[in-house]
Amino acid sequence: MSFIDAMRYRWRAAFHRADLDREIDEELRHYAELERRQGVRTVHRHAGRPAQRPVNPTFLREELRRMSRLRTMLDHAAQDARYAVRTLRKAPAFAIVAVLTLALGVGANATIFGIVDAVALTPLPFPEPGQLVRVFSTRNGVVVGSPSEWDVQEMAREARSFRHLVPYDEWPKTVRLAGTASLPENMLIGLVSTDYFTTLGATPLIGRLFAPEEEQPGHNYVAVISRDLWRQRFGASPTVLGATMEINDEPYTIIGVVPDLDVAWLSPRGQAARIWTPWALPAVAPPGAWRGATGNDAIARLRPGVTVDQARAEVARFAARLGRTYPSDAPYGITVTPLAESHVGALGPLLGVLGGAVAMVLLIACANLASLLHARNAARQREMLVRTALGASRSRLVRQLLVETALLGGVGGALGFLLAIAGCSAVSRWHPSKFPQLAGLSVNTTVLGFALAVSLAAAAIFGIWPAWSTSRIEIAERLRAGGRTGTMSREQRRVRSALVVAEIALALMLAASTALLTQSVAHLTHQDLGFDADQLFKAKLYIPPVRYRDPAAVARFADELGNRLRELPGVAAATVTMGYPPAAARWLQTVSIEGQAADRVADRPTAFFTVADESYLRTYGTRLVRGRDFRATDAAGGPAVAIVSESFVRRDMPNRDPIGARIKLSNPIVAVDTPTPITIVGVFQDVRNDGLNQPPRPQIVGLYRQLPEFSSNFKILMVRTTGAPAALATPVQRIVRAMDPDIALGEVATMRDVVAAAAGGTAYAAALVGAFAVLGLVLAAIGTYGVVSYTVAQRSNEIGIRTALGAGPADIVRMVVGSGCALGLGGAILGLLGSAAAARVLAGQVYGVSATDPVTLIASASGLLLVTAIASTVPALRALRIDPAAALHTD
Amino acid sequence: MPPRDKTELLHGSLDLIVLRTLSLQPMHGYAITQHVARLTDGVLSADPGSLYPALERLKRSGWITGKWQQSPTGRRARYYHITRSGLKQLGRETTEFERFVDAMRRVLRTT
Repeated sequence: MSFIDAMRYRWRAAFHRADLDREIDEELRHYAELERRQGVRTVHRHAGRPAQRPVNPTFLREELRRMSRLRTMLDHAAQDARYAVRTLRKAPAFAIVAVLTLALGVGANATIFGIVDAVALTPLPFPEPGQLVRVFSTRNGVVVGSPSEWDVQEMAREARSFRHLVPYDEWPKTVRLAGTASLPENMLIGLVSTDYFTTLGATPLIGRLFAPEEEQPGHNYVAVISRDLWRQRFGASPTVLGATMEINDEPYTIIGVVPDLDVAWLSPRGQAARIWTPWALPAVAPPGAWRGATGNDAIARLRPGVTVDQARAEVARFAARLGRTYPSDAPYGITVTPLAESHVGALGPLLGVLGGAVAMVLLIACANLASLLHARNAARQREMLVRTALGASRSRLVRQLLVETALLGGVGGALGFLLAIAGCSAVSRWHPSKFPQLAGLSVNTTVLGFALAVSLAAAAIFGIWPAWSTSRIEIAERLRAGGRTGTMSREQRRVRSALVVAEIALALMLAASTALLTQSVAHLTHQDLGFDADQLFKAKLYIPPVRYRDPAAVARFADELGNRLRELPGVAAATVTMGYPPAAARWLQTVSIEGQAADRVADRPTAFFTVADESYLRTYGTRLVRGRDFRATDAAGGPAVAIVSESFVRRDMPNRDPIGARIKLSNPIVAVDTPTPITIVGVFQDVRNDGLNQPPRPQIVGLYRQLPEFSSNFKILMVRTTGAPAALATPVQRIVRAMDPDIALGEVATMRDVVAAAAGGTAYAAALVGAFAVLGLVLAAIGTYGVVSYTVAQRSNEIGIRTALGAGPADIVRMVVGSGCALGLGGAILGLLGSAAAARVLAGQVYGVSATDPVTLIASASGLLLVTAIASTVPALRALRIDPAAALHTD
Repeated sequence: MPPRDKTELLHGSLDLIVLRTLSLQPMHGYAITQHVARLTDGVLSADPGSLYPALERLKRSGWITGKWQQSPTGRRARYYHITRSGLKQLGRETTEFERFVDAMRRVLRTT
């Protein structure tokens, strides 16, 4: 094939020069030799003239060498690149603005791509990550926790889809790493079996995992720690093996160190366990055990070749079987989801919004770039004309422009990548606590590739187009038009205006989104939560069962703690409870209401449940709407009482007076109702107890001193102060220490922080989209400024004439700013339409305000018009300085 | 008026001559010169100063290829072969040239 021959020849010309040179020499020598030997006479006789024109062999050789070298594609490219660098250096303002525009657009996109890559595209750091799944319980198709450890164990034995299937749980506990002498710390402990590590493919770095007998109750006093903890707290010393640590005042022997699993994103607490102890479960469930959904977790590895769908079908069948065998299983289904889905988690919809926002920033940047290149190419028409006249082919000129844009794209992409490095490290440092998977975010070669690809693609697309439209210019037509520098055809001006209008529209969409998200954050955090989040202090503690053996002892400790807290100066109220809205109130309790008997567990209602002391409502600032609050006379052993929320009454007892009605709760451990009937004495206002953006769910609050079977060793402290809640940390800690020096306070926070964290995703989206909106506005302002300045330059003639004819400064300013505002108005209208179209994407993220809220949209549009007006004021002022005489003389 | 150099070829016709020559058989550079001189009785001459650059051009266009072969004298020489697209190009250029000659003839006749 001749094409291939030609390419091969060029290839050799580019990379095998020495060979080529040698061949040229040899060929010429051969010719000379033949000529000398026989040729000269013959030719001369034929030619019939004395001598052939002498050929200078050195000159010919050099010419052939030059031909074989310079005229290759690569040489053209190098030449073009050198030329491009030279011309760009001659127009530094253009080059800098173009490169920065591109770098900002690419940097924003590469940062968001870095997040997408890290949470969704990069496989999880476990062997064969596609085989890993999580196992969940469902009720009416909605995920409600995971199957009980008993169900999981039974399924692990019998289901065929899984190679491993393990239940696990995690609890914050009081830990003293160096034994009894060291300070207690509140740390997250994973309760697992050896299979947990096997499932995730983690093998011990030193030491070993749990032996089967260590997973039996009573033999479980061994612990495995993470490499991270090992390095930080044990100096990575091998003597850690055999060392003893105290967990809840019981000694555990460290038997192994495993790699950091970094699975904080699996935990509702957003942190990863760094210590694991065996979850010593009996092989068989105790008779009558509660088997329905629980708050534990379960993870599994599929057998090779088994798909997630197959496993899902099998566990669904299994759940149906369990439901027939065990009454407490009846309401629940079981399902599996790929582990990777948990990794994306709640970030998914957020990434959609952020991805859309950065795409808009990129489009704005590209429009700006196209506009810049357009203007520049128009300004270079004379250069192009001269070069065409000198014999440069059109393809050569187009290629020259392409090389220039490729250079811009390359530099812009590289700079954008640097911005992405900064962006990703910023995201890694500052992100909402509910997205722990963003910790440790960093860029990799994929992100680099993405940055360069986007940048070069943008430069190519938006470079080819202006180049093409420039090259279309017919020389003759141009010459007729006078060949002035910097003239643009009417069509070109229209193209630039259209680009700026598009920029303004996109910037408006970003600004409006930011306004909507910011309002959503305000609505989320300052709506009527059903409690007063200001001046409220929160902490968690664990009352170790070693020294507080029964619920009565725990209750005594908790009540005493509450009393002492209330005596602190500046404390208005304090309560010891087990749940706290809006974050951790999700203890779903099955209830039966007297007089509304439902035999089957599946038919009974569920409600959020917690036990507290009598100061609960008072401390939260939640209003009682009917009946009475808890009283001191509601004593332990006395008739049990409870208060319920309005929505519980509305949903479950709509046609009766709830006050005095009696309910029974299913025992959380065994699948029977507790014998004690509980009398409803009061109804309180609804509280945001299922996150900030979900409607309040029915809720029941009891007294732990009356319901010991529902009281656990975990307790939450809530303290309402008249001063700054954060200042309470030290005095509260001191009181707890004074009562029991071995109890550590954990999860210390102000309620405002808790509420802010619950709105963290939206706040984060607002902050990031806001940053992108600022970027977009700046770029759109630059675009407007560019076009208006250009108009002023084009119309300086006309402006001069108008000034000469008596137009005042106000007229000139009005004319110029008016042209800018016309663009702004066009962009605003388009942007409003775009916002309305994009509302669907944003709807999931906004709260308390419509995604098409007219006030927000109009306000954003007005703001944007203001920006365009300001951007056109500078050229307008410049127009005022136009000297009529000079302007009339230029052409 | 000084006599014009008769060896000056019409612009572009050297390519046509080389392609036509190589369409007969592969040749090395010197043989091409010889062949042209012999055929035109010395009226046209492809001297190395223009022949070799022309060969480079044709190679780059993919119309001919150069292959090192043993010459009858036993020396290594680069033989140029015409390619299929070279043959096509030859056809195109021949037609073009004939039209040109035809046009010239008509112009000269009518004057």
